Amino acid sequence: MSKKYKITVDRNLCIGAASCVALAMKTFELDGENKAIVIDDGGDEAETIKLAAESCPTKAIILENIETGEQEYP
Amino acid sequence: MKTVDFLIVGGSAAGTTAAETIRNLKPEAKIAIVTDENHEQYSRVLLPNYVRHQITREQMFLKKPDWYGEKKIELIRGEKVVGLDSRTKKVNVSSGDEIEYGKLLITVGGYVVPLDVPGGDSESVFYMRTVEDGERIIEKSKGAKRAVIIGGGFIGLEFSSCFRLNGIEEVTTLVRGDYYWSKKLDEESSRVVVGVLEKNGVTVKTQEVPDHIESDGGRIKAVITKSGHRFEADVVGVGIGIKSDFSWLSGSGIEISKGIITNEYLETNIPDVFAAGDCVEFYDPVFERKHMVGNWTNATTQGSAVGKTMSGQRTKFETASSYSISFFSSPHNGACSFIGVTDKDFADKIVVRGSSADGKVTRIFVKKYNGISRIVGATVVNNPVDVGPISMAVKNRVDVAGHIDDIGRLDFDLKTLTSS
Repeated sequence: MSKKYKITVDRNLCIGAASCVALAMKTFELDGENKAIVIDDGGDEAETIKLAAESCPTKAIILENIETGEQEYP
Repeated sequence: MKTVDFLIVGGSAAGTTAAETIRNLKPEAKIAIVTDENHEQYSRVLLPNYVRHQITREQMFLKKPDWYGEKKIELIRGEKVVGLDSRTKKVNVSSGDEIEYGKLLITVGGYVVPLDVPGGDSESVFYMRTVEDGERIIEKSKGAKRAVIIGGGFIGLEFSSCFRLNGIEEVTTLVRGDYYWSKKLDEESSRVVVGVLEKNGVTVKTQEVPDHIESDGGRIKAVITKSGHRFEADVVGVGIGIKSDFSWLSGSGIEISKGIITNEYLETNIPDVFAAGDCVEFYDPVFERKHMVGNWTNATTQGSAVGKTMSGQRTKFETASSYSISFFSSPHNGACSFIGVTDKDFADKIVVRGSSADGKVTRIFVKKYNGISRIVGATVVNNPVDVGPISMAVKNRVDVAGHIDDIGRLDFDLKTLTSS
């Protein structure tokens, strides 16, 4: 799968609600501190990754378009 | 009378996500959201973080006032929908207005079940649902020394850390069951949760049901239980569940059981009426049964799916959602997650990984479908690394028949289940 986004999780904001893991589980997982981490930037379809970011209740997931270098979310 | 193409009743996670999805697909449509809260969309999930002073009030808000204008989504705030005529496709609003719709989405969520005992209506009896609840907890907890929490569960855990981080020294939780969170956890998992609470200065008392709240001159003194025990308190936090208000739907012909009944497309039995989020009892094709799911992930993903369907791209809702919280921070931190379906009666077998001695317990719920042994859900206490691989196994309907004994061992890497 080709990567569309550079994904960053803001660990200060992440509360481990795990919405992202439920929606894009090839991209995100929870670590030992109950915080989301990125295991593969292109693990899921770009649309799924976008939905996962939008579903985060704390807006902790930042998506940067690799081609344009622009932040697409939030 | 106002006329819109898409009317959404309820402005939280499901409703707002649906409005946004519809706008993306229907650039010219008239969309309106009616909400009985007087705010733009905020994150209920972040409410406890605000109460704990970890974020500002403003940071709770997911949508700024400008967003609605930019998206041309009309937000009708502080108004309740009081009636629906599905034949003429009109709703009545508490202001007296009538709104005619093309398609209607019901995302009313729930309100908190009130503590129905004498004295329970005091200003210092708190709930954790709205911005106003949060503001009141912060304000009234100032100077309080003792708190009682009624109910063990997600909200009870949030109250525990909220009270402690607002400087309250003595926090006692009263639960009805034989052990903490007995409706959702087994005793071993419960022991791990209680261990974390105790290390953080929170005491748990079981088999205690409140009888009344004793006050003196408007100030709370104590919670008196049915067993006659007296628990001194300056403030009380209540987390005993939520319920939806469907009274405005009576006579509408919409089928309602525990929630509003829908199929896997979140369509009700009435044409052009849809429902999503906490208030829905939907047919879930992942688990092949009808049920209600009340969490943030479910609400946002249902909002997204139903938004597509309402815009003409009929989309099946097919997500096994989960929900996790962290309570208290290092070194005595706790974490608890629920994935998929965790009903004892629904599963054929429950495999337990870990124990209270290990400080972590994962219970994996297994059910047979057409000869395949699938993981349908899990409760994960203090073992967050298990959440990802279990979610994946649930979603991919992995056959775990050959690994039933393995998954019960903590040293077995659950990723093995989905790697082949």
